[in-house]
Amino acid sequence: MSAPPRIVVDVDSGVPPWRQVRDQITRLIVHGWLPTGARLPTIRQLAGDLGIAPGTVARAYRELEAGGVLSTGRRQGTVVASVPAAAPNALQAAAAEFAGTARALGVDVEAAVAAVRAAYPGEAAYLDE
Amino acid sequence: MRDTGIELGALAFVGVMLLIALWPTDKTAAKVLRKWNVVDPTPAQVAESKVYLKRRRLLYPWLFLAIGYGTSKLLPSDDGYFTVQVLTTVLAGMLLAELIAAVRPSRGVRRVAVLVPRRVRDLVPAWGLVAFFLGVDVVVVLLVLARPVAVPALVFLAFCVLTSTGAILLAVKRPTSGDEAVDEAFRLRSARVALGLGTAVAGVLAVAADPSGYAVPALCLVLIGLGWNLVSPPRAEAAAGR
Repeated sequence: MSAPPRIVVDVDSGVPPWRQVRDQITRLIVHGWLPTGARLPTIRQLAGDLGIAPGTVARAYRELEAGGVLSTGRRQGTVVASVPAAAPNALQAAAAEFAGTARALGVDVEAAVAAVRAAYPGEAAYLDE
Repeated sequence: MRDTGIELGALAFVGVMLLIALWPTDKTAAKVLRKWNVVDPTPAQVAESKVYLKRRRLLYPWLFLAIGYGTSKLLPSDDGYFTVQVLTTVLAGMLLAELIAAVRPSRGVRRVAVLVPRRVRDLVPAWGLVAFFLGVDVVVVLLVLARPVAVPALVFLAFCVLTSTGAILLAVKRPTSGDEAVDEAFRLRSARVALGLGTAVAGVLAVAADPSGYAVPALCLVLIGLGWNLVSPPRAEAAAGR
């Protein structure tokens, strides 16, 4: 019998716990550890086991529901609805999130790219070339 | 008339004796784990099991005193309810321990959770729940029909139903802690013992309705037998674990 799928939340990693939960569930689905139709724990159970706020798990579930990966019904609970076509790699995911934040701040592409360049002080010259 | 002081002393004595008799050692802690399907417990698992058992056993003397005191104040006369009082106190101990575990937060930087939903029927068999609630219904009818109505028995039965169901629900709901296999073993043990003990207490209380005939003692024996069966780990899993 294979071990049940599990997730690990590192509260000191700097990555928000809801994102850790979302990304690990996505990975487990993509790699087939959680097949379509598999039931997930309730928000309360998962939050209690991980020692995080229920709202944090709810946000991760909400994000996955919005992407069509999970679906929640009154009788069936939360189940895997579909397998994401391809998991975005970590850099793409980070870039997408940064772009979203920049847009929310009203910053245009040039200013956002400049901010990324500024975050690499030692390599700024190389990046500019 | 009863002597409350002697009664409380007797209950406290039972609590202390239970604490001494059941005080966990490495050997007994490992035995409990093996019984509940942890095949070859590691020293770390045994140590965790010992802490778990110690926390629970330490509640007994205080609970025996508290419940004994509560009973002496609430019930007009409880002659013949000593066994029930001992069993319901053990049940209350389970409920209290599960409550404490439920409110204890997960600590540590790295926290692990299994992505499998926990349900009542994963821990206790459906036939056990049916037997328990059916048994309780029959005993309630018997106690209500008895003349005079066995009020103390009804109070004990209500308490037993609340503590049993409460302990089972909390065994499902409480967050995981420590080693996964140990956590699973003790969760299963709590739920099954709570249900088994509850069923047995209902059986013992049936005698308060009509101890003279054959039907009631037979019901009592059936419920105690079912309760005994529930308190044991599931046979298939136990065999697989060896």
